[in-house]
Amino acid sequence: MEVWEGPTDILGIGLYHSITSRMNEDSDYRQFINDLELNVVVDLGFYPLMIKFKKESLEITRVIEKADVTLKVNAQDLFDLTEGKSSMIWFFLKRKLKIKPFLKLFKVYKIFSKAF
Amino acid sequence: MTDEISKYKEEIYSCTRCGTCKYIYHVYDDSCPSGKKFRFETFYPSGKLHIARGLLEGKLEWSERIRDILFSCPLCGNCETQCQCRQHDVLVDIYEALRADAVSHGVGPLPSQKVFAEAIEKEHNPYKEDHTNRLNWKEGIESEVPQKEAAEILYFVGCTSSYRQKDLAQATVKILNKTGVDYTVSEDEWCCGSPIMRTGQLDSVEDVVKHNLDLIKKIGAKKVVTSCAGCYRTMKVDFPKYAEQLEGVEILHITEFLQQMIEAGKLELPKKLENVIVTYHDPCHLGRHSGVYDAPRAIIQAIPGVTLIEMSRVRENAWCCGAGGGVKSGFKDWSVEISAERIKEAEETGCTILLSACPFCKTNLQDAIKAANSKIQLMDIVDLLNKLI
Amino acid sequence: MLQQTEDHDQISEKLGKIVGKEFISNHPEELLIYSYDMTEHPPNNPDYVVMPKNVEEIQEILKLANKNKIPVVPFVTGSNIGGLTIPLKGGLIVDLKRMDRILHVNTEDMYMVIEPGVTFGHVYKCFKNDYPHFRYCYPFAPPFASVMANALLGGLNNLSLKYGCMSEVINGIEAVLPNGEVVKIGTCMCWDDQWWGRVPMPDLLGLFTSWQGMTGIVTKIALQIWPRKPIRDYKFIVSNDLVATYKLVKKLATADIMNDILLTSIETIKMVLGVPLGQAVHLEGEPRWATILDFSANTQKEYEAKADIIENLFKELKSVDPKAAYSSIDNAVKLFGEKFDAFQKMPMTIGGMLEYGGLTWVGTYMTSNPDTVVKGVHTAFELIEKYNFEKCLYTRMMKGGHYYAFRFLLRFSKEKDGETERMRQLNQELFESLFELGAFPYKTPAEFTDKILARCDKNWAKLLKTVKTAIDPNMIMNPGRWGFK
Repeated sequence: MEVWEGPTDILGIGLYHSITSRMNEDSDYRQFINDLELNVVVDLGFYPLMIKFKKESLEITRVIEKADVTLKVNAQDLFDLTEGKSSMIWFFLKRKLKIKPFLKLFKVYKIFSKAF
Repeated sequence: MTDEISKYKEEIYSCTRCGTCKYIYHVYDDSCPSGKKFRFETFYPSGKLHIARGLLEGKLEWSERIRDILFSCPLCGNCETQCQCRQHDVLVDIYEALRADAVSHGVGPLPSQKVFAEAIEKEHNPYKEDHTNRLNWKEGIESEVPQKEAAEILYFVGCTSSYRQKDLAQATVKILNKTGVDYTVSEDEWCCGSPIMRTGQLDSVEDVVKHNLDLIKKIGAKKVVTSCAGCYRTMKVDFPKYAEQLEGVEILHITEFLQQMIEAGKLELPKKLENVIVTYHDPCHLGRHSGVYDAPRAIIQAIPGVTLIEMSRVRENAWCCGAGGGVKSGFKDWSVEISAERIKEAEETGCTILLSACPFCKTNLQDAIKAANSKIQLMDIVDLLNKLI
Repeated sequence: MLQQTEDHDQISEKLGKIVGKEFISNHPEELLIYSYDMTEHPPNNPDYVVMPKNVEEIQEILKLANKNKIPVVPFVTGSNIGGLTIPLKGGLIVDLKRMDRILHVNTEDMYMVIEPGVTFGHVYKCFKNDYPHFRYCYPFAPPFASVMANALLGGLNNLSLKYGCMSEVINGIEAVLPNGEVVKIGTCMCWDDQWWGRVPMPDLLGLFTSWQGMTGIVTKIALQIWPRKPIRDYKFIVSNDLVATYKLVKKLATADIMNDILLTSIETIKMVLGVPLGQAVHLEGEPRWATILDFSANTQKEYEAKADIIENLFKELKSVDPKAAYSSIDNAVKLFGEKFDAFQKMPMTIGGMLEYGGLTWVGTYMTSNPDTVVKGVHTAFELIEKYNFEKCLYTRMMKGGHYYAFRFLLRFSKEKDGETERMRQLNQELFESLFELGAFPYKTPAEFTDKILARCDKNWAKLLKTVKTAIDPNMIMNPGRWGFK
């Protein structure tokens, strides 16, 4: 019998699906995510979510612990991004997408540009 | 007495009878042979689940009516494809559990199905043929058929090819010989157990599974190749339920194996056909149950001069040939009726040849062609390839 | 249940002669399956299940039933979610599945004539293959549901914003009365091949709509169809402010530019996505509401104009509810998975709704007055929380804003001890509370009708009885409903 995987909050569901569906489609991306060890906090303006990339496993939770990087973008901008109305780079330049620390920009881009 | 259905209680109670299992999703062609024929809710997949529920709750008792409902299902698994709910992937398991319980409660199977269980126990094949004659299909080509103590590949012929579709066994051997691979057949092959597994007659299952696994081990085969979809499904999907899998042994259907050979350049098809239109029937045990859809098609498309025109219900939506699940022996006429619908569908493609990849499908489709006086020619893919090498 | 008399066997034999022995059953297996549905309504066994193939067989069945005063319940798929095909007094279930032809599609007057066994799946297939420039409309239900039953029971579909509940798009019917006579209603009463309307003759359709099969068995129905516009798009909005969101919904509805507007709770979205039973709850901080918008256009210019109106109204909402966000359903599918496609690819089976064995609702139609709607939401939410079920709200503006469809999709497990009874209690309280607010349950289950009859205009109840008695003096048709014991 099919079993539900992943979080049950609506934003967590979206994030989980975005990442895992891309992993299913793209073997390089899958390898990249499976090799990743990183804690990312994503704040879409409703509540923050913690994504734990734990090498071969992915957990998305509302319990916020110490993050390696924080990503802030509001939901409307995220929708515009995923609809192709703009790009992560442009949003970053326009300060619609905030990444802390800045040095993690490339890694964040690599994770989310494919997922979104 | 067994109580197999209790293992699926959660799945059984999940069904709301939404009816999605009754048709091909988004296409709305018929998908369920027994539902289409008998029409009462009980004969559809959801109906069977609710019968299981009635039994679990004590609201129903085992009866001949339940037996007829359960055993009229060819276990094609189309419902598993069409059901959009979480319990979709265990529906056939539930029907087999119901059958096992029916048998243990003395209500099943149908009398004609008991016969082949006895035959499997005694002669290791469902056809009541002498086991010692298992390799009689070699007649005329004895020197071409390797029988070794050990080999890389075991060609598991299966009972239907051994005793009924001997041409298919011979054609397979000829093709295998062309590939130059190291393989053998064995006179010690027993029925894979599919007929008794599908009809809930589980007493001898562990014995046949263990025997066949021991045989593979004895030969030291790294690959087992079979030309029967039923044997393939059974060895791949069912054997692990009854015994520990053999490490490093790959089970292949002949179409998977031949696709590999063609792609590796180890099998050439020097002869050509002239503008032949073919269509392909997906055997349930090869397609839906085991996920093999592309290999047969890749082979067909590699044949020069052949055009493949698909029927309207193919791959995971394929209409059953009607032979499986014990229906061929339990409901002879109706089994051919189901097949006749498939023949009609094949004719609608304008094809001259209907291809399949299962000797049991071939038997039933042939019966339907005969009954309908159809002009369509039926061949196994292996038969066709054999003409081209 | 029928009394076990000598006549029992004779009836069995006669029924067998009418439909053929293979299409009649009184086996316990069939009787059990047909005795209940997915809802919490208690089961009751029929005495027989018969499956006729044509009008003549139905006539004979009803004459026999009428003569012997045997209850008759028409059935196609049993998915009305009101327990309406549970035979409260036993008798015959007449399963109409074998009558599954789409008889005629008239593209000039734009209607189709179909038999009772035609499902939404059949209609979808027919139109996709043979009439791609036309469309019917679909409920939030699996494809295997009877189009006729949906219409006769006043169900709602994804064009109900424009046209109202489905009984409002019926052009005519043919029905077999309890005495076996066949009646035609609408223009077809004069011309066999003309089913374009029910005007301007005295309209008798009301003798069959929302009567739950109590006045006869409808054997043909003509339903309006519509041209399929070349451009169609779907959007969704997430928001938190119910009042502001409803205001947007009402404005859009009265702007007369939309096909459909669904206002749902976030729990409904989660259920659609497949979140397990009991876990489709609103968590703190999550967006509260989701609104699905469906609109089409004949030209790109028209499309852009409509999209403009929607976006401007969305901006109004956002000025009050800054976290609100707006996007396309395609984007939602990309983000949340293909199950989100359910909103734009009807008919579709929503697994999350149907995979726990039990589904029910108190489905109502009510005023579209915002105060009442908001009050209804709060009242219902409190009750559902009290009984610890999921607040899967699913609402739709009807007929351009003239009324409102208000219901909760309540899934539950029949396996868990006590859950069915708890759901029954919830539904009773929900009905009572919503009824007090002016919400009328459609596909009205039997246990609510007593309260309605107690409150309604006495002369209406009197007229109901007069009509029923005239048409069905022996009270054989689906007895036990609307006070007819």
